[in-house]
Amino acid sequence: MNKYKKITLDGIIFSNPTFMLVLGTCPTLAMISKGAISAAGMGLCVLVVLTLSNIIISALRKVIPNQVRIPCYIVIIATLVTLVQMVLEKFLPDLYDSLGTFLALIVVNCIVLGRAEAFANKHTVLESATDGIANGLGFTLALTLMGIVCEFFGSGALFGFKIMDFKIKMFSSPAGAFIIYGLSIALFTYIIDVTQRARRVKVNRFTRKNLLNERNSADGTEVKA
Amino acid sequence: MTVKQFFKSTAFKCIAVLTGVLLTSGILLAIAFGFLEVTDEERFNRKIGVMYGGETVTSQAQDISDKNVKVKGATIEALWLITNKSDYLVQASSRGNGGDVTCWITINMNGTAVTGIGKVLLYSVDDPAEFKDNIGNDIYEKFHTEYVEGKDFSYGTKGTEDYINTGASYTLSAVCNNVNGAVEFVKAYASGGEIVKDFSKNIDKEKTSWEIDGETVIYDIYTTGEEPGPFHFTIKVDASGTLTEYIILTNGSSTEEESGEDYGSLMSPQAVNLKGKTLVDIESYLDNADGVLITGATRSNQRCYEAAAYALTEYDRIMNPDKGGE
Repeated sequence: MNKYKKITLDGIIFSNPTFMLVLGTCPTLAMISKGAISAAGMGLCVLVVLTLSNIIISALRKVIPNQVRIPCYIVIIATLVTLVQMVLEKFLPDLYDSLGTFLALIVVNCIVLGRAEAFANKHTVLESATDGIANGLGFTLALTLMGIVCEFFGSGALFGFKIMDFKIKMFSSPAGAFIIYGLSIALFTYIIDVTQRARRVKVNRFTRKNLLNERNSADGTEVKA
Repeated sequence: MTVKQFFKSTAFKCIAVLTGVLLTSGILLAIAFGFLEVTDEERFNRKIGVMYGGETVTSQAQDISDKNVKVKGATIEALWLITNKSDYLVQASSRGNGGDVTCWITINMNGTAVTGIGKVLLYSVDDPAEFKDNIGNDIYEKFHTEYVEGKDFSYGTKGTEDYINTGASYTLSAVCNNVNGAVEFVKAYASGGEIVKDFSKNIDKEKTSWEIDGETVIYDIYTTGEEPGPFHFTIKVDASGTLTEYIILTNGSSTEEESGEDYGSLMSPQAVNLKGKTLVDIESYLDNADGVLITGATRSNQRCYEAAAYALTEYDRIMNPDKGGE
């Protein structure tokens, strides 16, 4: 499989930071309970910070001594987060207000530091950028999907547009978001599990058929699969 | 270790890289701040813009430092003239259930006359959030649609059609006070007049009477209302502006039907003994100084302080009818 395709699929699906690695739980619970727009906004901010930090850290990986790599990563990430904060406050004040403290807390988001430490300081700039985008997308998609569910049940709306009067207030709180989060992890894991099992069965069947063909051709007969 | 060795060591490399990263970040942030700084004025105009559906407006702060800013239970904290709309924006604050409730209110003007209320926005609230959330947008909309010249807003009386049951009576009451105070203040400010201290909101003016005894005014004051019921006082005010006699003839405090709690017994000791107090003292009590207003019988305390304040403010008007007295 193409290297970049594998990095992308890992980031979005097979090592999805939210559903598979359960990272960044704090902003996840806080934002999805606020609705889809806040959740998507937080996801996009993380995407930008993660991609840029991966690029910079990867570019500087041969310059930064191993002993001070973590402080350097933190300074780089904090600078990027501050820049994102400034841009949001200037141009998207509503989103800035809705993200509140959680925007600044991206600095300590374990997805960002985790990818810097586990991937960016060992790979090329292009690979790191791909990994940043993929993981950021995985995080954004997960948050947006759960945000949609929470907003739908919690306030009967979708992306701020009211669509029904029925609502269960609990889903607008972190407690309700926690339930949605748990159910989403279960569903996502189940889907991945079923898909991978089906793939394994297909591969096994193919391998068995090849083996049988090899054995039969050695015996001089051919077997129909 | 020689100097040359130091410059070739990992320690030096660590210091150099960390310093480099920090300096680069600092410079980058400083440059970005220059371009992306949001000034206080910009922040303020954004907030005002919310009052006009995101429209850009220009404002001019008005100096109200020499004005009486305590109007109808509210304190007028700031006033702006919205220059491109000819409206006034008022920041008013009053006491809610557990803290101050501050509102922004736009007052529509035609020259110096108030023509209506634009929008009422809850600017900040120290009351518990669940109370704030009980007041829906439809209630705030009423201030705009139901403004009638000379009529004060209230959450109504229990059992009547105009009663607004939100489960947040104190917070809503504070919002109403803010709106009423803002309208009254702007009326006086725009016409260049003075704001007269008025504590007659809960005074039954038909039953209330007074007589003059030399330099002293002897009042027979009745209050209105159901919860608490009417209070009846005998109050004497002398020329120095002091209460020389303060007697509660009828205590209108009610008793809770379910718990049997007698609100009269929960009243502040100050509220039942105001002899010797001046208007400054009473106003501080009405502002809940030392917690004397909210004792579990807030409205009963309020009636007592209001009756005393009414007697003290009316003194000059009674003794000097030429200066606006009756």
